[in-house]
Amino acid sequence: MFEYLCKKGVADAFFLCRAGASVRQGSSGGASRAIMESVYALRRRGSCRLDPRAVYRETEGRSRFEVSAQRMPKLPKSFLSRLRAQTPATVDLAPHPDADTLTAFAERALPAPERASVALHLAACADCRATLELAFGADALPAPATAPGRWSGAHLWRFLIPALAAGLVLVFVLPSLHRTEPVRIAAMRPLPRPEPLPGPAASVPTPTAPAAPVREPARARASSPPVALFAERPPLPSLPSPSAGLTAQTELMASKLIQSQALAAAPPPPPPPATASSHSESVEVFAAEKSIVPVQQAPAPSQGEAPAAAQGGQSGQTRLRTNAEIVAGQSQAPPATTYFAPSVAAAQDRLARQKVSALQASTAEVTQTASAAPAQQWNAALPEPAARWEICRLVDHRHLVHGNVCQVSADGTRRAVAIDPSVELLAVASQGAEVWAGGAAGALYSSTDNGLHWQRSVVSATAPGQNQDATLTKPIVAIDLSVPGQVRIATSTGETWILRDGLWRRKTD
Amino acid sequence: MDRAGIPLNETLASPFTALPIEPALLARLYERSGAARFGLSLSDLAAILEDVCARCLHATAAADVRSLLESLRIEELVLARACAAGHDSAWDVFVARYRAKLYEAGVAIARDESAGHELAGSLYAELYGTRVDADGRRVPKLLSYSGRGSLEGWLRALLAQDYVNRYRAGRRDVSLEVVEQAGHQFASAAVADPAAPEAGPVREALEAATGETLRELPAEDRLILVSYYLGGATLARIGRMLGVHESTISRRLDRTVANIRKRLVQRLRHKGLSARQAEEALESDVRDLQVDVRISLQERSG
Repeated sequence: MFEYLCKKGVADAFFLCRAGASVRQGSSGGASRAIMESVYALRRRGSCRLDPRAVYRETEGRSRFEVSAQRMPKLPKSFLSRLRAQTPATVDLAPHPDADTLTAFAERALPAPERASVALHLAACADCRATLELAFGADALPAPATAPGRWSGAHLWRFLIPALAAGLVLVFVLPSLHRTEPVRIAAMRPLPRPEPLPGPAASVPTPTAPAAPVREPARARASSPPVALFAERPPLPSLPSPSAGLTAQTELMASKLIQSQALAAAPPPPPPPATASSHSESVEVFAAEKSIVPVQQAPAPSQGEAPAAAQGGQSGQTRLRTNAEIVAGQSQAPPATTYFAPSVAAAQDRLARQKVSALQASTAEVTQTASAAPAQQWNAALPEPAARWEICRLVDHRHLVHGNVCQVSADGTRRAVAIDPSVELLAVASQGAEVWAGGAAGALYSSTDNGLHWQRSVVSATAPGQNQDATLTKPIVAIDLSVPGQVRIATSTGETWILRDGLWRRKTD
Repeated sequence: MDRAGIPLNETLASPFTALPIEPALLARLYERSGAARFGLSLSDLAAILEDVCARCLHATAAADVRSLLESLRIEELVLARACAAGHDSAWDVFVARYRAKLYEAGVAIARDESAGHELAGSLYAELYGTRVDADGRRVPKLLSYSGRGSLEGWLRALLAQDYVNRYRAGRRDVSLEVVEQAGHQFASAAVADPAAPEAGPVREALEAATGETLRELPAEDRLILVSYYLGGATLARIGRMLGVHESTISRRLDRTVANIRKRLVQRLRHKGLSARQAEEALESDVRDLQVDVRISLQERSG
């Protein structure tokens, strides 16, 4: 026993052994019970992780049920004698039940009459009893599956806790596995705020920047909703001196990207005027390990300045607003750092596209509305025309990053656009440059400039004759822009909301 | 696809045709079984189910058929039948799922690694089919799996049967005395022992009461009593044999023994014995006399 307990790592094994040896001489089960109580006490102190019942079985050589069975009323000897006389060691009781029947018997899958006849045979036939005992009674073998409802409390708790844990894992992990973005973002991390840059030459953070920031927990990311644009951009002509921000891995990947893009010899965009802006602090941008390269920092717009999207040709000057600003409906937005996501390699991209096509097929009913968008009326600020919008699932270390939509160009290239990571988006639709996206808890976002700027709308019944207290709080599962001048929204509960002439109306099916 | 060259339909065909299987149930079972991935059609599955019903059911009432089909482990049944038909991908699945378990079970049953591997290897060959029928076709043992229990449990039962058969054959070859010593002498001694104290009406009453009580004992309770008192199995072992927890066996054993005592006493008192006489009669046994004599002889010699 000492060896057993030492092997199991019990700190007070000696104490347990002494206690066991002193009591074990006498009553049956007394010593083992004392040891079991000691193990319980040790567990409460946290110095032992042993199962007390297993210790009991080990020290006593049998379970507590065996011990308690000794205290039950004894079978009358006359009866036992008769029973033995009717149960010979070997007897030919053919036909014996076959292996199939024995299995069904042990797994309680036989109907009652057949079970009784098999039990009767087993009671009289030592060979079949031995077969059953060897096949299903051995400790080393896993117990056969029993019928539902026959689990005792001990079994229940033994399996309930792992089952609950597995359930939690399924609840939180499985959705993210099923909604994987094609270009899997393995190490999404918020980049440090861009340092104020002295001049135009230093406006581009370099991939050789040292000191990667520590990965921020997903919870923290969710609590600070970022606004970012992941977009493909032409290569850069040169890389300025390093600044803080990228991990070594990102550096390596980014340098490869830049090299490959330099080989492609695409014309570089004109360098934007770099300005050190304190407003950039309010913007948090996620950088993907493989494909996100910070390109340039947008200039700080002045009051009343036209949106960056309207600045055709200034592809690097896209300006985004924070969610807080969007929700608050502020017209003046601080400048933001824009990060672009060039494709890593054509093969990877192709593979990723195939994956996302398969994954998004499962949400086809949600994104069907988005697929109907025309491909001709794209905002000029975007580098290439897009065909449609789709719901985009981004996964960061198996954590689903919500709040993204995907802009799909005519050639199949996708760009993820982060709107609000605190909201799971379920539907997106577009009509020309007008894009609407909706999701959980009635969250509704709209953009009139092809997704460059987003405005959150609170949907409440404002039309005359409607209950003015009615507010949309249900998940938005479909958006329809096919009727000119109308936005139609369907919720998971069957409600339909219609925006017409600037007023929301609710229709309930 | 057909590894053994056996046409699938011929392997699965059954003469049992008058089976009331509802089409909806059949379609549901087909979907649940995953038969399509092994190339089995709906009619193939129907043939399998008819075969199972023919072997497991004595009546073909619709309720019985439905109850049986609903309780089948349909996926494992289809896998076994597809393997028996020589479907390659089915064998791949079978090997991946059960081969290691089969060998583990063999070692656990034989309690010896080489013997266990031999046992499992022999069964593995039989599963594929070493016997041939009159037409020269191999007869895979997997065809005898009906799907009422788990496939893994069925494999273990086959291993155990094989082991017991080998052991019993070897044992009979060695000695028959061991078998004779297992308990027959008690029955004859009980009848012939002149020292039985309650000769006469008490003895007759006791034998009658014991016989009646034993006859009305439920089969499963009898199995528990035999396994525990005569077979020396532990409660946990009996529990695993019967598919319940050992605490259930403990409670059931307690209740059964108490009921037996109560009924015996009731019957003996009904036959005119007093309560004290009945209690004394219950504990009278030829075995006690033998043991007493033996012990007393040992004490005297000591």
